[in-house]
Amino acid sequence: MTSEHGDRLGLVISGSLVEGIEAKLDPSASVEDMAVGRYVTISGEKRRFFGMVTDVSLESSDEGLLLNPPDTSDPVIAGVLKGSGTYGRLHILPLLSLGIADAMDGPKPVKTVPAHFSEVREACQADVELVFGKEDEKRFHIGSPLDMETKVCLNLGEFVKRSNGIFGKSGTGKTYLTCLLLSGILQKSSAVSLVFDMHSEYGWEVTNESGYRAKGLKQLFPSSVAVFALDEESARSRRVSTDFVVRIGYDEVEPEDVQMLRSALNLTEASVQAVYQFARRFGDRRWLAKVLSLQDAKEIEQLTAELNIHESTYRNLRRGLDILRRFPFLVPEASNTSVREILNHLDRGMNVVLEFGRHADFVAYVLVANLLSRRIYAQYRERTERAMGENAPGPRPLVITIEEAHRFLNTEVSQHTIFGTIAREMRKYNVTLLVIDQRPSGIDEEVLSQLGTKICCLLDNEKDIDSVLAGVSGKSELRSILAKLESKQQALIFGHAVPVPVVVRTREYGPGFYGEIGGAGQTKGSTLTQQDIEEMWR
Amino acid sequence: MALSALGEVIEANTAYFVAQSYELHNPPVLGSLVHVGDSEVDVVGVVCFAHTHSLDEGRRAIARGNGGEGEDVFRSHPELSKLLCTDFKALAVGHKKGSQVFTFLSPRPARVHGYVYLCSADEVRELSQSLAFLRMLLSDRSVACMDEVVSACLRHCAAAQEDADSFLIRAGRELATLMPKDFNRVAEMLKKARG
Amino acid sequence: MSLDLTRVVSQIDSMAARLKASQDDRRRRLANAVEAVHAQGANLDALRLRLEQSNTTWLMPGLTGEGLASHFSAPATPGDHSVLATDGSHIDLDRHHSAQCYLINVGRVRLDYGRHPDASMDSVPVLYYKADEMEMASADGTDARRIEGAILGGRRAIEECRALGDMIAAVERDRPALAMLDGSLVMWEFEGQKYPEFVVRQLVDDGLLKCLDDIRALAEGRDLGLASYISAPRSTEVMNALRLASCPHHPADCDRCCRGVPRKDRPCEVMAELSDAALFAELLSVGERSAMFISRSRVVNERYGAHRVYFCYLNMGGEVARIEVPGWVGENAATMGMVHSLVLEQCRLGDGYPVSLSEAHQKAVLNGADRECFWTLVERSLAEDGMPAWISNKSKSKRRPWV
Repeated sequence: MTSEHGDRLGLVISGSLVEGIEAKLDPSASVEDMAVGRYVTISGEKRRFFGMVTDVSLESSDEGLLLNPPDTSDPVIAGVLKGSGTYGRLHILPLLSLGIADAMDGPKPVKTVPAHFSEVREACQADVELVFGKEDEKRFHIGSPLDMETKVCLNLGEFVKRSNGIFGKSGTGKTYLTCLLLSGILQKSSAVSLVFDMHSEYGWEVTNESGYRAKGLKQLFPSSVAVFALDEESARSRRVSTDFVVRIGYDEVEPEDVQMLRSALNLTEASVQAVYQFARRFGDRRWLAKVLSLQDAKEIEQLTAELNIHESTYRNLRRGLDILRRFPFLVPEASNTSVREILNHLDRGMNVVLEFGRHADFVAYVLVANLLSRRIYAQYRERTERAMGENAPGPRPLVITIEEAHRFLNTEVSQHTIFGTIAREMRKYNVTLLVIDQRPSGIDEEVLSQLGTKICCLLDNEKDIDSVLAGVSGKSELRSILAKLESKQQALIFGHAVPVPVVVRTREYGPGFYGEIGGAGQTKGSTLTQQDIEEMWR
Repeated sequence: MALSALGEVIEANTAYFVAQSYELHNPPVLGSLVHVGDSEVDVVGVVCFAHTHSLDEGRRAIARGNGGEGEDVFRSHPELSKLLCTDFKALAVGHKKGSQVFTFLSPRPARVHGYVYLCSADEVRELSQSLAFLRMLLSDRSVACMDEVVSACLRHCAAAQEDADSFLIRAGRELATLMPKDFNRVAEMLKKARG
Repeated sequence: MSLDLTRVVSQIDSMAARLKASQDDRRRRLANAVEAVHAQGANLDALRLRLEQSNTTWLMPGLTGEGLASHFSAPATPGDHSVLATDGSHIDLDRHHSAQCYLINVGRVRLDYGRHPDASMDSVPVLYYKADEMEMASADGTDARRIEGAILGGRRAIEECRALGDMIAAVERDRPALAMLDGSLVMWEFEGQKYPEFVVRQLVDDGLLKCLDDIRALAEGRDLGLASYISAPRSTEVMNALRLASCPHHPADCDRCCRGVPRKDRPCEVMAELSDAALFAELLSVGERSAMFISRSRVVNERYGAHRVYFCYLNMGGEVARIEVPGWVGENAATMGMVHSLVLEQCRLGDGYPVSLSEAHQKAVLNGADRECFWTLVERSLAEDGMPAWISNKSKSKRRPWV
């Protein structure tokens, strides 16, 4: 422990549990050194409180002073002014109660506020460790609190039990953060990941806008990550060795998949209804092949008349479905091999990254992700139910990572898609989501509220901030923090996996990180895998 | 070093004492800290007012010069030095018992005819540890130019400190709490205190 | 207010009118006097003869070698010098009080001029209460006079003079000094038969003159002037001499020559009612002194001896003052020159009145409050000692007026 206490910042002058605590900043502490999101401890009479700075304001004790500002070029006058005529004020959100000062009890929820003039100090290393725990088997070092070297650790065991979200506008480092988290999940939890890697950045190599390359998961954990490709040519050209090439059969496309793509394919509501009609007529597995094979105008006319489908509706539908047909990975017959292969890998404890290669458009992404997830989920569901019946452990927990999540989880479609179901069901069937999105406002409120832990990088759209924070206590405080995050490498984490909301400077994803996780990660991953396989087939 | 007395108390009460300066026109400077020598308790005061006047209440001093030309008035009127006297008033801000300095009022006022000495730098430093004297000065209503007195006093105290600026900042904050809603007045006082 | 000013105002107005009317007359008489000075001034011996031979009721001056019209400017003042002055005041015996005592307060001033200007000023009060101090007894014990009124005034003058002597003794011998007294050196109150011989001897011969003897002894071999200063003098000795000079009767014998002649018709009336000061205001330029004269006052003639009083007039600008000096000063031209210059300088510094005397007066003066204080103190002391402090009813009523 480097220091018993952090530097003194000021004194509590007012506050309430609901509104937060107001502290007057000591003259010796500069307002400019304060930052929202910084942790503080407050030594009350009976207990210590752990809180977070959520606002910093300038106060003045003298109206006249503001009208006639004194000459602050004089260092003495400036010195006096600080802390007397004018002072800084910290708004602190009390987060935890640390119990009696010396008997280092574990953190407890805060139920009261510290007494007047309690001392506010910067949280020291020990305090932060006490709250976030040390890095261990389950806890993964995700970053450090602002202005501190202490590690903030996520309990990934807890983390993967629920669906989670990573949000932030583009360019805020969501990808690196996700890589970081996936590495952590891979190392520190028993869960496996299935990543729908739209832009082919998680599997082999991460590239940012400035051309900086970082290792993907496969490079870091070659033995426990498999890269699946939708577009093997693209993979080849990038010299990525792919473990499997995914093909989707027409028979695997269900009406729901089309419904989800309604707007992407520019389909009318009637067209979507028509899909269902076709499916009823031809069966869920054959309808697409059948519709795509319709050539003869007469046959079409007869069929549409039979099904009471308007001609224009059919044309609209056909135009949309033709877009699908043009995807090379969509083949008339694939006989479910992709899903099986993915499940095989997952069962072996292999993490699967599905690269979309050149098919990085939403239609392909939504279609494939939805379709595969549905099938995998169905398998998980079946296995879990069986395991419950046999009172055996369920399948290895699965985390499905999807990007552009608002495409799957917007209010319009979330009721219909598998992701909406997964998000709402929590971990009932051992499947959870890791949702990555830059526009959380597009995601269904209910889904958002089900997310266990949210990791937010900078968001600057009011609606996005509102939706991320909906239903969170201390919303207004967190809101100001969220809006003031730096655009890179900073994130606000709150929810299930952290005891208190925390702003972290995220861990550097780069050579340093590779070194820290290297070796250990691999061996551990493989041993875990071995164990799991044994468990699985016992 | 035994300092020689500057004057003698001619009027004293709990709050202040008035002393006659031994030297005409040469009282201890405004804002300086002085103490009254006594066998038991030395009253310590801040010089807040000085006044040169005719010793005889019934006689006013009249202009005697020749518009600055010619003789020095005091040379040609040696009697003036005996007809005029300079008094100074010091507000009691504390007391001294042996080498101990207290920053609250002495239990008894200074004695009339007690000798008045300038406080040493050590005493000034010790006294200005606590800024209680600022409140005492500011609460006095008998001196019109109290802000100036406070400035001058701070100037003296600052000169006795190792770090004058940090002392002034400390004092300034004290002033600011004593005069809330009037920071510009504080700033003005500090500016003057810095000379 | 006791004075009904409205009733006085009209009277003041008439008075002013009368004074105005008499102005022209006075101016004419003054012109006559000036003319007489110039006419007689040249013939000093003739005037001296007439003064010897005449028998007048008026006090005549003794003449020195200086002509009536002569006038002298002051020499330069010495560089480093001191001016000493004393003045006194007293609290007289008060029959309204039980305590029989009197107090003489002498103010003493020493002013040093020159390279090291300095001043010392104090006052020495002395309370007299012993039986032998309360009255003045004859040598054989058959007669005595209470010391009050003029006698107390005399004693005070003596104390002033004694104090002056003490101060002179303290001045370095090589330092020129002027010692000043206020009022006349001539104890004219004690002329004639008004007071018994033993009183006069004790006050004059054994009193003032003894002090003057001491001062004279101190003055031996050093630059020391002793002068007494009379502001706004009303003396008419020189005018009297002029009137005598213009008298048509030889030798003049007023009782005989002008017996039965109404005053306004007497020949000397052309110069009537003029003071010496008025005359010399015409004759002297500012800063100049007149010729020296010798007092022929009877007490001087009979008792003063070497200290016989010389006097001259000095034009101070605003007024003409009379300076009196003892003979041993008046006959020494150098000392007299110093007296002249220093008195003049003192008046200049004192805005018309010698600053040293003015300060001595300030030190000596006892105002009403002082007197009140004094008596309160006396009464309190008596009461503390268990003695009944008796105060007359009149005194009480003065203190606490009632309606």
